[in-house]
Amino acid sequence: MIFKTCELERKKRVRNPSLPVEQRRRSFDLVEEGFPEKEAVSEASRCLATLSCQSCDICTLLCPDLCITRSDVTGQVEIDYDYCKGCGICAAVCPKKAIEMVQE
Amino acid sequence: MKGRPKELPPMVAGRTHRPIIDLLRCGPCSVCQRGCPAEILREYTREEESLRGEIYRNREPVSISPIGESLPPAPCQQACPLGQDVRGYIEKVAMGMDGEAMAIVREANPLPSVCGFICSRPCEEACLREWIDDPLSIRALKRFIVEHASTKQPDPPSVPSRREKLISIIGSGPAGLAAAHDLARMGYGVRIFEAHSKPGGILAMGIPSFRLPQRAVEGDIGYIEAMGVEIKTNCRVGGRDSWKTLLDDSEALILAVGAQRSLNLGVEGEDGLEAYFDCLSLLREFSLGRSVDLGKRVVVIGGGYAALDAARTALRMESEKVTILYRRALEDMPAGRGEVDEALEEGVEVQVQSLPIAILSHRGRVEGLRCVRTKMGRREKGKRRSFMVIEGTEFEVEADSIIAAVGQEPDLSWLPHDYPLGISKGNTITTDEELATTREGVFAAGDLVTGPSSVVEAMASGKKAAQSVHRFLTTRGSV
Repeated sequence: MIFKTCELERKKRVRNPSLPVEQRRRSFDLVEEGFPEKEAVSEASRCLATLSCQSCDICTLLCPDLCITRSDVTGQVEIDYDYCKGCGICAAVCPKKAIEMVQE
Repeated sequence: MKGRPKELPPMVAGRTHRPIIDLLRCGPCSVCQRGCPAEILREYTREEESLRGEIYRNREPVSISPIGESLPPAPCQQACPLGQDVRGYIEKVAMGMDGEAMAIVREANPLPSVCGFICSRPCEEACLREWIDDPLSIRALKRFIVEHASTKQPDPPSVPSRREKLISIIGSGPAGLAAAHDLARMGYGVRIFEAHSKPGGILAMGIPSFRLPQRAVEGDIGYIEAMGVEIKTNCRVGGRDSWKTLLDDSEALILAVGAQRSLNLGVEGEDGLEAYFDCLSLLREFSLGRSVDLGKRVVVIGGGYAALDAARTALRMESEKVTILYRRALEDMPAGRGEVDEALEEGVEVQVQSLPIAILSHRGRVEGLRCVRTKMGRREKGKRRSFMVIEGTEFEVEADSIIAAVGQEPDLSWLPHDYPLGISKGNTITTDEELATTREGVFAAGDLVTGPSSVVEAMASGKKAAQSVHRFLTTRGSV
C-alpha cells in the first residue's frame, strides 16, 4: 500500500506572468498573460479541496487491524506495515482515492 | 495526546461526536467530503501539529449545524455573488479535465471569459489557503479554463420552449446580459435593447483593452446570442411612444441601464471648464478609439477601478506624468490591490489622503488643483473609514487636465417624467427584495438598483431578476 500526501505543504501562489513595464507604457496590450497548462494544474492543486488526503480518517476507523494511525508529531496518517495484512478496505473507502494498493 | 488507548486511536482530543459512514447507504456524491473537514469541525482548531490546525487556530470556530441542516458551502463559494462552485472547477483543473471545469463554470456564470479577466475576485479574499501561505489565483485559473476548454456552442435548452413569451431587457451590460442568459436558458424569448453601436455596456465601452480584451467580451456575447437572445444595438429607448410599445409587446421588462452618469467633484469653480473630464465619458471615447488631448500632466481624482483605468490609459497616451489623488489611505481604495499595484508599477503616482477643495483655472482652462491633507479615522466594521481634513495643510497640484472619477449614479433622463416608477436616493430605482419595481411586470437589475457596484455583483443582480421574472410569469396565470 502506498499512502499519497496526507498533509499540506507550504507553497506560494503562482501568479500570471505580466507584460514588462516598458512595453505596457507604449501599448494597449493585455497586461496579464495567461497561465501555461503546467502552472495552472500546479496552482489548482494548491486548493485545499483537491489535496489527495483530506484527513477524513475514514481509513483509520475502518481498518480491521487498527494499524492506520495519525502521528502525534506530524499529524500525518501512517500505516504500520508490520500489522497490515493488505485487505484493501482503506483503499476502497478512501473518498479521494489517495491510497493505492501495490503488489509486494 | 500521549498514552493513546489500544482500541481506536482518537483522532483529536476533545471530540464530542464522531461521524460514521454507513457505506451501504452512501452514494458517490462526495458532498460530505467536499463540505468537510475543517470548516465545521471545531475539533480541527485544536490540531496543533498540523497545518490544517494552523488555519483555524486563531479564528472563531464555525458552530456545528444541527443534524439535518445542510452544511454551508465553501468560503469561496459563499463569497462569490454568483455562488459558483469554485472548488468544483478548481479540482477539475487539477485533474486536467478542462472541459468538465468549463461546464461547472458555465453552470453559474453567464460571462465566464469576462470574469476570467476582470472579476473583483471576492473568492480569493475568502480563500482559506491564505492562512497557510497565499490564497489561490482563482481568477487566473478561470481564465485558463476559458482559454483552454474547447469553445463549444451552447446546448439547446433542455426545457420546453417558451419562446412565444417575449421578455425585453433594456441595457446590454453585465446585468442585462446575465438576465438574458438565464431567461434564454429557461426557454424564454429574450430581446435586449442597447443604445450604443456595440453590445456589452461598460464591458465594451469603459474597461480598457489592457485589462479586458474585446475578444473575451465578444466571445461571451456570441455565446448568449447563440442561445437565441436577440440584441438590438443603436436602439435607445425613450419617449412615451417607444416606451408604451415596448410594454405592450413584452410579457415582462427588465431595466438594466447601469449607473452611467459621473458625479461632479462638488468643489469651487468646476463648471464649464476646458480640459476637465468625467471619467466614464473619457473611457468611452478611448474605447471607441478616439484620441483626447490630455496634455502632459494629468490628475485623476478617485480611487475606484474607473479612476485607475483612466490613469493607466492616460499614461499610455502622450501624458508624461499621471497622478491619482485619493482622499483616503491606499488600503481603503475600492479598486483591487492587484490593479493598484499594476498602476504603481507602470509609473502612476498616487497621492493618498489628499482632498481637492478647488479647481484652479485660467481663462476657462484647467491649471491645477488646491487640496488639503486628510487624517484617517478609526476602522469600523461594515463601513468605509471616515476621514477628517487637517486644517492649514493646503497645497497645490499643477495639472494640464483633470479627470473626475469620484462615483456614478444612474442616468434616468430617458424615463418619462410622470412615469410611475419609484426612485430612491442616489437616483436608483426602487424595487422590492425580488427586484420588482413599483409597476407590475417591470423589473430592474444591476447598478440601476444598487448604485455603482462591481461587474460580478451586477451579474448576480441580473440573474436574480431573471428568476423573479420567471416566477412572475409562471405564477401570474395560475392565480
